[in-house]
Amino acid sequence: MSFGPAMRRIRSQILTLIAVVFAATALTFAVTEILPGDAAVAILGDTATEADIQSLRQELGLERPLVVRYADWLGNAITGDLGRSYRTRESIAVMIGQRLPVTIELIILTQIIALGLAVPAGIIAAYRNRSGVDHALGSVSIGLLSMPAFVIGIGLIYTLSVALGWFPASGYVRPSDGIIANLHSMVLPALTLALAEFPVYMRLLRADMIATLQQDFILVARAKGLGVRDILIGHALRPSSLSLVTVIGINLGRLVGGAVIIETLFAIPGIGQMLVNAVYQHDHFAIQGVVLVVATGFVLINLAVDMAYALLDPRVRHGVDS
Amino acid sequence: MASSRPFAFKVSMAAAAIGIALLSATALRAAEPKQGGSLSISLESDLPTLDPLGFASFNDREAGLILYDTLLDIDPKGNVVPNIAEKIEASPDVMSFKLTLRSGVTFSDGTAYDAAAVVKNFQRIMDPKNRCRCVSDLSTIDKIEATGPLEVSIKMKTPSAHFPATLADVAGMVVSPTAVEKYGADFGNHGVGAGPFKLKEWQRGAQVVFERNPTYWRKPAHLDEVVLRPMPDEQTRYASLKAGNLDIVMNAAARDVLDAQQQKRFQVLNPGSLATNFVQINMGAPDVSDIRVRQALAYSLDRVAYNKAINRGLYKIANTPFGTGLFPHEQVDGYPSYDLAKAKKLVQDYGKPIKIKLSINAAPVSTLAAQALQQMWKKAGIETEIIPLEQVQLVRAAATRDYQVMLYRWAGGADPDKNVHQFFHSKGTVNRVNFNNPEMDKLLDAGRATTDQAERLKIYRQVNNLLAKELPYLFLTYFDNISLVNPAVKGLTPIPDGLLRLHSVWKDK
Repeated sequence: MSFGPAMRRIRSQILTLIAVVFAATALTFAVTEILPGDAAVAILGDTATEADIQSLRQELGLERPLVVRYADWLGNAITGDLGRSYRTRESIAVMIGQRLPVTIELIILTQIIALGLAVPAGIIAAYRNRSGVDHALGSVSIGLLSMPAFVIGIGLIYTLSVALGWFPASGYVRPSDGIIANLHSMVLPALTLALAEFPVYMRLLRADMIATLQQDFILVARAKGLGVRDILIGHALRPSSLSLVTVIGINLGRLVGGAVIIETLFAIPGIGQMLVNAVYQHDHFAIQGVVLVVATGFVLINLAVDMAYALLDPRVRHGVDS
Repeated sequence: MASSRPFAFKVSMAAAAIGIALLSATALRAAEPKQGGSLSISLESDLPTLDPLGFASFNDREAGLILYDTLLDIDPKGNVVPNIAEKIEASPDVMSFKLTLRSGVTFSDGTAYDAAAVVKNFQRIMDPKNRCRCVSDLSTIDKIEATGPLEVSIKMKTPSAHFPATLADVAGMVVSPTAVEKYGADFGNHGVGAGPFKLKEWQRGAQVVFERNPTYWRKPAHLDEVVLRPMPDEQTRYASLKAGNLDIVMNAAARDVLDAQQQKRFQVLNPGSLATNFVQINMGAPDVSDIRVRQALAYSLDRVAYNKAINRGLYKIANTPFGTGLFPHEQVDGYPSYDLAKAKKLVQDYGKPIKIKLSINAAPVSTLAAQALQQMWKKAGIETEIIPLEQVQLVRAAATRDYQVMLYRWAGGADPDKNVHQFFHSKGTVNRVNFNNPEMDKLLDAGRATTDQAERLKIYRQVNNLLAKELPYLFLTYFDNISLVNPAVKGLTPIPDGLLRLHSVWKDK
């Protein structure tokens, strides 16, 4: 086993990480600047006089040029100081520390539910290619794919919560107040996001699986007399899951975007909700902090996906050119 | 699916019958309050702080009433009544006030509530460094001093008949001076007052939990806990009430209020309002500086149709800046009512083509409202361009008078003065409409110079008439702060500011 290519990959990923984080935060800083209105008005409210607004802008340092403010923020961020919220005076690092685990839990649960539904469905659809089951699953996934997540969410709230009373319609219970209660409060939001992801996963796996099932080694396995389950799960699933793994990785980033909507809909205190509030309130440092964390996370996940390839495909691990 | 419907219908009929039976049973023993229970109320967004210095929104003020008692309060009719101040007496020239504080009140941390604490509280609010949003409410104060253990004397710079009512709001929320000292800049995370509840736990973004204050000066509250839950999505708030995860939706949307009225599953608490929705006109801007144009804009507004289209007919049409909870409410002669022919004639008289730039908040409901206005004005031959702005930008444009015509809303104060003086006095701090009228200045100052209700009514009637004549505002509707309430919740009193007083609320469960 040679470590050369792997090390090189990791080194280049770290460089990518730095470049992406730099670009993302600089861009966000500029975009926030273009946003109409400003933090001083957001803080002072609608009976503020122009003089009040000017004096607060001075105090917050909003009068300094954009580049100076960005450099200032970046310098502090590198030393781990993400600043304080204009609005609540809370430390941004503390805010993110409280909210990030909530979003991570939401995303993990979403992936578990989405894969829990999509993997069996994808296998069945591939195995029973062009059957009634396949067509039914196809229609369901097209339906879900064409629905925005918040519509799915409102649908689930009205059926599973208002009509059936199985889950709370909104709100969040911390794990420290009971794991079961915590999961109970997270099922609906996670299911909402999962149903939006399900069709993508299902159809990808189905397509790859159909291709795999036509390969020689499956024929060999069949000839050996292995059962359907052994062939599908033992032999066909792993080689069919490469594109699925890639998409799961990319989707983690997309899910943060989904979390912005779903956390707002279900009143879940994650970083998605924090970002929305921060944008409404022109809370620059809060916006920057969230973007920093999300961008870093996104690059790290892609790195992890790269490593997962190595586990799934021996050719990547050994640096062999196919 | 189709076959299950009649069955579902039967089930729901049966459930309704049982529900009615239960409701009438509970009505019979509604008299004696039950102790305990937790009451959950939705907020539109998380609180920025628990320090009154940072309070602005409806949400913040509700949290304030839970934690702090106000010196004075208002009753269901909007009259100022005692609270933790027993009495307020004005001098005949309304240049000074004497506040007599209630004895036997303590802050929830054990600190004594006395004249020194109240004086400190006023000074804290008035310190410009603290940037209290309510500082303009106290702008006429000259000097405050403790003249007895429970007596505070306040000298004014100018006559201030409006002053007592401001003490029923944020400016009257008294914080514990020891807690302020102890927590310093971090006071906003703790919030210690003399209210019916005290802070138990604040999970940012998720909920703020308050527990009963056992030393409350009235009888301690019936409820064990009050939970405020920030829920930004309107649909989620109502769905959560329906699913039983929430007891009260404050500031409910018109659509949900109508649904609740039809379903009869929830109490609809309509306390009336202090507030109005209106179109404000920058009297210094082109075209609209001409009274004929303002009149044409007013006469072409079919506000009954507007209210039906935008608010499903729920709110009352407004002709004054004073909501139902203020005594000059609808005390006006000759506010223009819908008359398209007159509007067309005025446009003709004006002679030049009229181009209106209507600035609005970019929210969907404001966009619909603006389109309705656009249609109506078009019928009179007035072209309108809608300029959607984000809320913060809209406020800024208003503050800098960088607009021509703007769809706006003012939450309203407990004294008529607060709805007009700062906006229409030529020296008003937020005179956004460029209104400069010596007669108005005289009236607004006179309104502050007497505490005689009949006299003040006469004055504010003249204010209304002058507004109807000059039209700096085109009034649309009053805005009621309607709450939807789970039927198990008892003991709520509707107060026109729309905020809930929870000290004697209980849950029948």
